[in-house]
Amino acid sequence: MRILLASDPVHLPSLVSAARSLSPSNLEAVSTARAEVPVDRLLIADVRVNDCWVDALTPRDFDLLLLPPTRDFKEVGARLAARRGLPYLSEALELELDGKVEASRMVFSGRGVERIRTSLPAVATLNLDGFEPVEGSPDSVEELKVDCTPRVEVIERREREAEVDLSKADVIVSVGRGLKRKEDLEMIRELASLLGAEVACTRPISADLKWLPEERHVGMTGVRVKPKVYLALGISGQIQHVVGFRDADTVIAVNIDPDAPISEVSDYFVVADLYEVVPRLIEEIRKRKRS
Amino acid sequence: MEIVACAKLVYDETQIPVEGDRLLVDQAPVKVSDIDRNAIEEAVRIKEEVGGRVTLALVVTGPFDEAILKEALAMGADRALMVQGDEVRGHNPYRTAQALVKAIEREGIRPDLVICGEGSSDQYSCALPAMVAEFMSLPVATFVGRMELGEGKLRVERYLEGGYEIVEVPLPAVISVTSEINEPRIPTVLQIMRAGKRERSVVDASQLGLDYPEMEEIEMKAYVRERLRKRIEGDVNEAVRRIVEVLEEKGVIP
Ligand SMILES: Cc1cc2nc3c(=O)[nH]c(=O)nc-3n(C[C@H](O)[C@H](O)[C@H](O)COP(=O)(O)OP(=O)(O)OC[C@H]3O[C@@H](n4cnc5c(N)ncnc54)[C@H](O)[C@@H]3O)c2cc1C
Ligand SMILES: Nc1ncnc2c1ncn2[C@@H]1O[C@H](COP(=O)(O)O)[C@@H](O)[C@H]1O
Repeated sequence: MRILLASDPVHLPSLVSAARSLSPSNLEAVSTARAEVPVDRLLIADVRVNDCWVDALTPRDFDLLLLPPTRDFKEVGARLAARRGLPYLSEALELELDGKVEASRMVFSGRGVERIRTSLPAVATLNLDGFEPVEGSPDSVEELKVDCTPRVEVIERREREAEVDLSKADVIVSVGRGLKRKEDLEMIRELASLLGAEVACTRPISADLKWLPEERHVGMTGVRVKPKVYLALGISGQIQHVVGFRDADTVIAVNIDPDAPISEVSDYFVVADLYEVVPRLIEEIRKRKRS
Repeated sequence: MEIVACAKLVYDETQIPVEGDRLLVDQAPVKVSDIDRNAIEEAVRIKEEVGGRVTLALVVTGPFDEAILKEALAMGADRALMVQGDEVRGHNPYRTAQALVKAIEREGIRPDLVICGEGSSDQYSCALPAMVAEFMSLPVATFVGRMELGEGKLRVERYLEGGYEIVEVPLPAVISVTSEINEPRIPTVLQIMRAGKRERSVVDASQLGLDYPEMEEIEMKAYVRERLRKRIEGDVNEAVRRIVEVLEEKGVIP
């Protein structure tokens, strides 16, 4: 079983960890920079755009090609599979190998889990939750020359340093469109800091309104979190958001609408105006901390 | 502009009844996959700006509902191109993409732009647009949250996890859009009625000579996580007190 990995250096250590759990006979990785990972061979390729990633991987030999589940690598994986005539598994949750490959995947925005089976060689993007990054040194490191003329031209890239990794947060205070104005985030931040919590949000808050950075949005297209407590304020509970906090121990939701769908997926569903609850909650916790 | 908008009909995942660990999928109503409405909207807007024709292309991989198709067409597409048949039913993005491309070719359509959604509401494999691009040997930009049409090219903003990327793509091209790109219009009843008369090509999948790696769906289960579902209503001060209690119990506050 020859497994090939293609990744940015950030996801590579977790990807290697996932790949090693499949006991490959040979493990090779292509990365854009050197990384300290235990693989048989590390190939460093100067590829900056998806077009060149696809070209770089097209001639390579493997039984299974694994990629991180990022937006870019989902494109790369699907294109490579199409180009090579191979099956493609998108965001596999678990893989099993027995001459063929079997994977589970989330479907219907996380309402269901499906198992599918296909032949090898295959290409898959892999959900990396639960794989601890491994360190080690590659047996050999080589440079990979890639001959590529990209068809799309990158004009500008605005990369933001991520502020936070919500998947590691112990307590989360999350807001949705029930919040009326950006300024009101102040009281949310205050509450979060009293609880030693991170602030999170639904996708409209980050993507449409841009009140909070993208990496704070929880859900199917955002982060999956597993805190001890998830406090959901003014969040309706659409399934795409819910899949993101499903592994939380305890969910407390505050919503003004007694029929909000989040009532079905929370442990404590408080029917109230968050603008009445939050200030009182802050006051109450302060009082306790003083005494 | 010759534009193809790809749209999938799916079971509405927010309305699937659950029984134990079973999802009673086929009891849910059918809808246009959410983000495909943004794809259709974008295609229609471009047509309205520069002229041309919009073909709504779909492969019937799952449910089909005539009324829903009409509603999608009523957003402003000129005609529908549909691939159906047992061979294309089920999840196999490779096969779906190939069927779509072969049907487009068979119809003699040479698109300047193919617009898809970033991912479908049921599968969200985000695979089809990328595969369509490969099969058609066209450049592709995925996860486009903003776009601007230029001379023979598109300037698009790709929404990625760690930021944005602005790229230029020469036409013809394939793009996939995210829900931020526009606000899809809701067609009027009259528009929907008229849409029934739009031109329609129906292609039988068995005539396309599809050739693809098999993918077998072994099982599907509901993913449920039990919750206490305690309801706290009435006096706000009392509600706050209860929240504090829970926070204490969980060791979040002393
Ligand atoms: C393919 C796809 C992927 C998606 N991925 C994600 C994702 O990863 N994450 C995500 O979050 N969303 C995602 N979405 C969007 C998702 O479907 C919902 O639109 C979104 O989660 C709704 O956000 P919300 O709850 O903040 O807003 P709304 O649905 O508008 O809910 C606002 C809630 O606030 C309540 N409210 C209003 N005022 C108050 C008040 N004063 N006090 C208390 N409550 C109040 C209302 O009763 C309502 O329930 C995705 C959608 C699609 C189609
Ligand atoms: N059966 C289909 N018919 C038409 N378009 C589809 C079909 N499946 C997927 N697509 C398009 O491809 C996009 C991504 O789908 P997916 O790869 O399933 O996540 C969707 O948003 C649609 O625009």
